[in-house]
Amino acid sequence: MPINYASVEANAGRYAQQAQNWLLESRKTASQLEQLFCQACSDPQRLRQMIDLAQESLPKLYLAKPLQEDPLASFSLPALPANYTLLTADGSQIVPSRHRALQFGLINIGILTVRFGSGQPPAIKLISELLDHVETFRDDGSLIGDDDIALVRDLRERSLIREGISPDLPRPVLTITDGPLDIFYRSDIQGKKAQTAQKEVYQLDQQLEQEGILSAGYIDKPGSAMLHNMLDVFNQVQGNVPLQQKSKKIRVSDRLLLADRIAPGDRSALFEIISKRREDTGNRLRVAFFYLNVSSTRAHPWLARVEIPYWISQQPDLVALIHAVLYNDAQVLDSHPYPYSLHRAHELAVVKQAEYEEIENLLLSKLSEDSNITGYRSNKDYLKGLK
Amino acid sequence: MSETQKSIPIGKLLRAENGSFVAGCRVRELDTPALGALVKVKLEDQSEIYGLITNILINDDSLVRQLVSGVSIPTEYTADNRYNRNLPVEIHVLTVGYAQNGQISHRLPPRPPLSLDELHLCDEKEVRCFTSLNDQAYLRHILRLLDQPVEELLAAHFSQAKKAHETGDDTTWYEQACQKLITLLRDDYQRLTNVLDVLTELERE
Repeated sequence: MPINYASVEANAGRYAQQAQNWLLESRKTASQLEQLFCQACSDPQRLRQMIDLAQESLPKLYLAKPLQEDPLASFSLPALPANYTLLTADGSQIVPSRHRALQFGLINIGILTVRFGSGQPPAIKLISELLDHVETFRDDGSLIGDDDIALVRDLRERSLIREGISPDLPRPVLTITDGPLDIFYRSDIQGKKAQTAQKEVYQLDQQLEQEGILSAGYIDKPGSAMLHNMLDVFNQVQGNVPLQQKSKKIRVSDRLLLADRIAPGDRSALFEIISKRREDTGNRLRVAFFYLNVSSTRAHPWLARVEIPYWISQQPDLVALIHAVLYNDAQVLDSHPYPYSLHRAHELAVVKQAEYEEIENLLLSKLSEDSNITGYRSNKDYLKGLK
Repeated sequence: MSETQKSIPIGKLLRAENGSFVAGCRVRELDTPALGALVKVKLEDQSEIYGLITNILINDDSLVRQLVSGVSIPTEYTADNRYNRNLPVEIHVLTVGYAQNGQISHRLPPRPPLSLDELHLCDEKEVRCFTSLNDQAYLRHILRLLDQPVEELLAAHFSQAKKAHETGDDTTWYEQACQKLITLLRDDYQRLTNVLDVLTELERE
């Protein structure tokens, strides 16, 4: 029996009650924050100054900062252009495991290029890259893990997108990746490695800006509480309380706070992500975001966060284009709205267990007979595979 | 090199048994095969297995089912699903005979073709050759089919075969084939009536 259901059953009721209490508490907090949100946004200039103050005095920060638009406003769906290009990338990976016969890492990236207005099927590209043996180890000699390889994959996605943009693609060109646009969120990656990655993302974005290529990161069902964090700062400054980071168990997600404010197809106002860590350097991508209600019915709002480079946020026509393209792309799968192009890129890239084993066998077949590499899985892994 | 060897494959075998087989092809290749067409698979030992296309199946998957319920699908995404995604069109084939050492038989082959064997469309010369032998004995395989629109299959096949024979200046094949059907169905009046009805419709075209 894989699970002791009787034991789980005994605690299931208690768990459900706890989850229900948590939800009620979150809603209560959200309702309190509603008022504070309106109060804070009544003077956006003052709110921005408070955030600047927090940015100077706090060592770590992750919050939303209103940009030029009224933070309480929402913006209706703009029209789509007749011709444009959508370029999406998504990746998956094989993380080296010491339990397997061979320890190897691989990244697999799917790229979909759709020329809207052409009537032609999208161009698809699949890039599978085996990491060099030396790349599968950290500086301290330990095997790289999920975060390390995800960082390699994220960076490769960005550079492959850049390489995929050719002059013959109909303009405007919008590139989309799944997840945050910056890569600071990978908290396990720190120090020089994080700084190098951030610098690379920053430089890629600068190239895209020069060429007028738009980019966006799409986050489905986001859990961040950047607005709650923003309101904490407002509350502290307002009440003359010394600024400090709050560590409450209940953080009201932006999604919960904004769900009833944004109609289907509409977007929220633009905010900038203020994120600060002790070891940040100057070469860091400035990111703005808005929330987009990709639902088609008012009864079931579904908010996704759309992150864009700061320079795009300063051009309303470009923001409108991204808004229109992403909503319409998500509506293709309207019963579970999510951009079709991103789903397809994921479908292209996903690595299945059978493929993992095929690659492992391929690599083993390249080893000479007198190789000292055993080619044996760990006994634990072998026994786990028994059916 | 014979005509057959030069012909372009219209699909590759997915699964097979002695009496029937299924080939897969891409949507792009779908303009060639048609219901009732005579096709063949060449085996490694140079023997050939002949069959008639009895059904062409367009498969779906969970993404296509999602898209079907969507409000609107851009043309580019319709094309993506038809031409890019890995959903083979299935061509179902009824085995009607085989050829070994140049001898055509209307019996079932000793063994079925193997997966990934190539499926080819027979040209008019081959259609004339296969359908005129053995007093059209291959028609019995069609009449054995259950739960399938046998009359429609016969009409589609007769239409193509009749054209192939007329191109070869043979105007008697169609009448002989009809006579053969009448003989085979002499004890099944209802079915015979249905078959003759559909063939009458074919003659009016």
